[in-house]
Amino acid sequence: MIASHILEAALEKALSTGGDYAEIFAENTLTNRLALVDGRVETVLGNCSCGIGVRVFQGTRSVYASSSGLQAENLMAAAARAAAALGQGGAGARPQLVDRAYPNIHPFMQIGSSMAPAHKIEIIREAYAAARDYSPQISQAQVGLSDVDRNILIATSDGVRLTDRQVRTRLFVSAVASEGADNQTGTEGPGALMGYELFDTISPAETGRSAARQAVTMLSAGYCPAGRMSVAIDNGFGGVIFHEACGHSLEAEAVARNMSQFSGKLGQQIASAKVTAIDDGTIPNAWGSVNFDDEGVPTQRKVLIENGILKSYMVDKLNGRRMGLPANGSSRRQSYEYAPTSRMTNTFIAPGDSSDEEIIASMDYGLYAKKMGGGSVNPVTGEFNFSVSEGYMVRGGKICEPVRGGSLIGKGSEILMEIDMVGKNLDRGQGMCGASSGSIPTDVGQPMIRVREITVGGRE
Amino acid sequence: MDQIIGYGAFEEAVCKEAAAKGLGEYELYYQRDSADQVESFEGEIEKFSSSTSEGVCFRCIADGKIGIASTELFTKEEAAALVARALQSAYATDLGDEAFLASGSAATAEPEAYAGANTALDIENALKLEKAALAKDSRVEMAQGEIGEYARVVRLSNAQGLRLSKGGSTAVAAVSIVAADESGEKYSDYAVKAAAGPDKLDIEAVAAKAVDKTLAQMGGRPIPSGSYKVLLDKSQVALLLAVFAPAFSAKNAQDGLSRLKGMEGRQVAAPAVTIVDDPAHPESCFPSPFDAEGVQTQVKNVVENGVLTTLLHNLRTAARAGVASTGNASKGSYASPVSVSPFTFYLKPGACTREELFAKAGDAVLITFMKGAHAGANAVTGDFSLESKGFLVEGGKITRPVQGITVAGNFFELLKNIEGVADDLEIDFSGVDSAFGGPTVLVSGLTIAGE
Repeated sequence: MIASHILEAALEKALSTGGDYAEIFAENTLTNRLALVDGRVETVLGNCSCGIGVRVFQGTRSVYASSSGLQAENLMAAAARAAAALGQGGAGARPQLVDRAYPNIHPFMQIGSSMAPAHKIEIIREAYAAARDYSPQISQAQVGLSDVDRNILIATSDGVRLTDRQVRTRLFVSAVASEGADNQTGTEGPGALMGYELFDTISPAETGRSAARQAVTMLSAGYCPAGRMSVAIDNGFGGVIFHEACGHSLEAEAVARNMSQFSGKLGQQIASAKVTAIDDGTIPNAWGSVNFDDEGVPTQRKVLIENGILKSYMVDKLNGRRMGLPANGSSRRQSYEYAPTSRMTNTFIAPGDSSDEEIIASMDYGLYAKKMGGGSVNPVTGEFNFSVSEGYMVRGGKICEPVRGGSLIGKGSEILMEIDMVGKNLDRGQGMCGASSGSIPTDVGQPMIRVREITVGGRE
Repeated sequence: MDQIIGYGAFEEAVCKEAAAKGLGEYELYYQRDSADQVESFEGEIEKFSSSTSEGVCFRCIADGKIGIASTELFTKEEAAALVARALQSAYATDLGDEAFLASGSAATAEPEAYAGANTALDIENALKLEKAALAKDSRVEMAQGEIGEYARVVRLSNAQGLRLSKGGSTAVAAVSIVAADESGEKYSDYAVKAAAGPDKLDIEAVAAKAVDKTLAQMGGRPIPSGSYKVLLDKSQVALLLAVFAPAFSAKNAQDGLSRLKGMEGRQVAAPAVTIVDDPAHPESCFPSPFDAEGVQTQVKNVVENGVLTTLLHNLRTAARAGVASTGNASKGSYASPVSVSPFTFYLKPGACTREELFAKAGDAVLITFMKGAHAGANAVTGDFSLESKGFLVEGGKITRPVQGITVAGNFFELLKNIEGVADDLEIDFSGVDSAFGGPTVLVSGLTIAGE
C-alpha cells in the first residue's frame, strides 16, 4: 500500500519532537451496499475509502493525525502535524521495518468486492420474498446486504510492519407488520468475518421469515408492564446485557482513568458465582474476530470474569501504559479517521448448568425476553439500558402472551450479582458497537440466563 | 501505486470518462471535512487529534436508471473504476430516474476559506474548561474538557453546468463531570455548546452547566411505577424530535415506514404544536441554500398549529407524490445514497414561561435525561421506552431528584397530548448535519417504571 522507506521516514518525522512511540495505520477499504425496499432494488453502491493515521505517544499523552488518500505527501503531513502537536524541534530515530506475519485463522473465499451484483441481488430478493410471504400482515420489508474488504497496514517505531485483509459480509432484514394504523417491526441481521460463503450456512429466506415472524407476533402483543420483576433473557443477542452492563466498564479506556465501576477490582467478586464471561477475538470467522487488532497485537481469548471473580480487562497500548498492563489485542477503530482504543471483540457469558425449561419453570411471574434490541451504558456509574424487541409474560412457570415496547434498566454492578441461573445453550448474535473509536463489528452472546429482579420499563 | 491527483484533476478525469461512456446526465458531489480535537485530563492536554478527509460521489443516468459510486482515492485509474462501478450500479437497480438532477435555480454560497483550527486557543480553552469545572464545587472529582473545531465544504456539479458550493465551520466545547456525594456514590453528566468559532465559546457557562446538572442528580431515587404528568425538558424535546424525524420523511411514508403517511392536511398534534424546518437558521454555522440534490431549500412549518402541512421531500419522493421537492435531500456522508432529512428542526416556543408551565403542571415529573433511543425508540411504530432521570415536581416546584426510571409512550400520541408549551426554546447546534431543538412542554399519558 505504501513503500517501507516512506513509512520509515514518516515514523522518524513523527518521533522528531519527543515522542517515544509512533504508529502508522493505513487502510484501503472497499465496501458494497445493496438495499431493497418495497420489492425494488434501490441502492447498489460501491465505495472506496482509503487513508492514513499517525499516532504518537509521549508517556501517557497521545496525538493522532489522519487524512484521506494514501499518497506519501499526506502521510508526511500527518506525521508532521502529530509531531508539532506534541512538541518543538529535535530529531527522531529512523526505524528499520521488518515484516511480521501472523497466520490467517479466518479464511475467506468469495469476496464481495470482486463479485458482480447479480448474485447479491438474488440473495436480497430471496430474503425479501420470504419476509413478505410469511403473512398477509407483513406490509413492508427492507433488506440490506453489505460486504467489506478491509486492507490494512500497520507500521510502528518498534520496527514492525504488518498487513491484513479483513473480509466481512452481513445480511439485514427489517420487516413491518401492520393492522390499521398500528405498525410493528422485526429485524434479523446475521453476519460473519468471511465472504459470500456465509450463505452456505445462513439461509436468506430463513432470515427474512424470522424478521417477519417477530413483527407479526408483536402486532398482536399488548404493552409490556412496568415495574420490578424476574426476567429470563434468551441466548444469542440477549448477551447484549453483558456487553452493556459490564463489558464497556471492563475496557481499559474507562478503567485506566478510574472512570469505571470496576476500576481497581481485579481479583474481587463482581458477579454472582454463576457468571463466567469471556472476550474472544480468535473465534474463526466470527463477526467480531480479527487476526490482530488495529495496533498490531494478536487477539486473544480472555477470561474476563471467572465464577464471579474479575480476572482481566480489555487493554490497549495507551491505556496499558497508564495501568501497567500489557496490551491484549483489544484495540480497535472504525477507520483511519479514528485513533484506536480498547474495545470488545466477541463477548459472551459461558454456559452454565440449567436447562431453558428449568429457568422458565422457576419463574412465578416475570418477563421472558426472547429477542433483545441494543442498549447503552454510562461506565462511570454502571447505569445501563437496553430494549426488549420480543417479550412474553411468564406466569406460573409458563410462557404466556407476547408483550411489546419493553426495556430493561439497572446498574451493572448490581445486575451481575442478580444473575442466579445460567443455561447450557450458548449462542452468539451480531451487532455494531459504537464508542469513541467509532462503530465496529462485535458479537454478543450467552446461554439463556435468569436475572432475579430488574426494573422493566413498560406502559401497563 | 497509481499516481494521486488533486480533486480538480480527478473531476476532469471523471467527466472525460463519463463522456467516453456516452453519459449525458451525471453529477459529482464532493465533500471535504476536517475535525480537530483536544482533550484535557488532570491539567494536561492528554489527547489531540486532527483529521481531514475528502471524498466524492458520482451519480449518473444510464439505461434510464440511476447509478451511484463513491471514492476517496483520486487517481486516473480510480476515475475510470468509479464510472464503471456507477454503471454497474445503474444496471443493477430497479429505480427509474424520476427527475433526479436539479435544474439549477438554487443559490450558491461559497463558504469563507477555512484557515484551520486555532490549536493554541483550543488547548487553552480545554484546560480552562477542566479547571473551571473542578473549581466550581469540591464534590467534583474529575472533569474532562474537550474542544473540537469542525469544518466542511460541499461542491456539487453536473453535466448540465450546475456548480454549487456551501459549507461552514464551528467550534464545540464539551465537558464530562464525575462527582461523588458523601457516601461515595458517583454521578456523571456532561454539557456541550457550539459557537461560530473557538474565540466565541463561553467556557465558564459550559463548565457551570455540566457541574450543575451533575450535582442536581445527587440523592436521586426511583418513584413508584405508574402514569404521570410529565414536563419534558427542552433538551429532551430536541432529543425526541431527532429520534422521530424519520417519521416526517416522505421516503419513509411512501415505503410504509411512517405513521404520518397520507396525513398531510390533518391534525397530527395538539393545536399548540408548530414544528419548523429552517435550512438557514441564523445560529447555524452550516447554512444550506441548496440540498444534497442541488435543489433550493426553504423555511417551512412542517406542522402548523397541530396540522401536518407537508412531509419532507427530495426530488424522487416529490415526483412519486406529484408535488415539488421541499429541498430536503440529504447525505449522511459523501458516500451515502440520497436520503431525506430536516435541517434545523424545532418545536416553536409557546407564550408561557417555564415557571408558568410548572405551575400549570402542579404535580408532575420533570424529565431532563433520556438514553438508549437508538434501540429503545422505534420511528416506525412511534413506541419508546427509555432510561430516564429528572425531578419530582410538587405544587409547581422541584422537590427532589429522580433516577432509576424509564419513561415509555408513543411519539404520535405524545404529539397529541401536549398540554402546554413554554417559551424557553433551545437548539443544539453541536452537530455538523441536522440540528434539533424545542422548548419545555407539558405532556399527559406517559408511563414511568420505577419502584
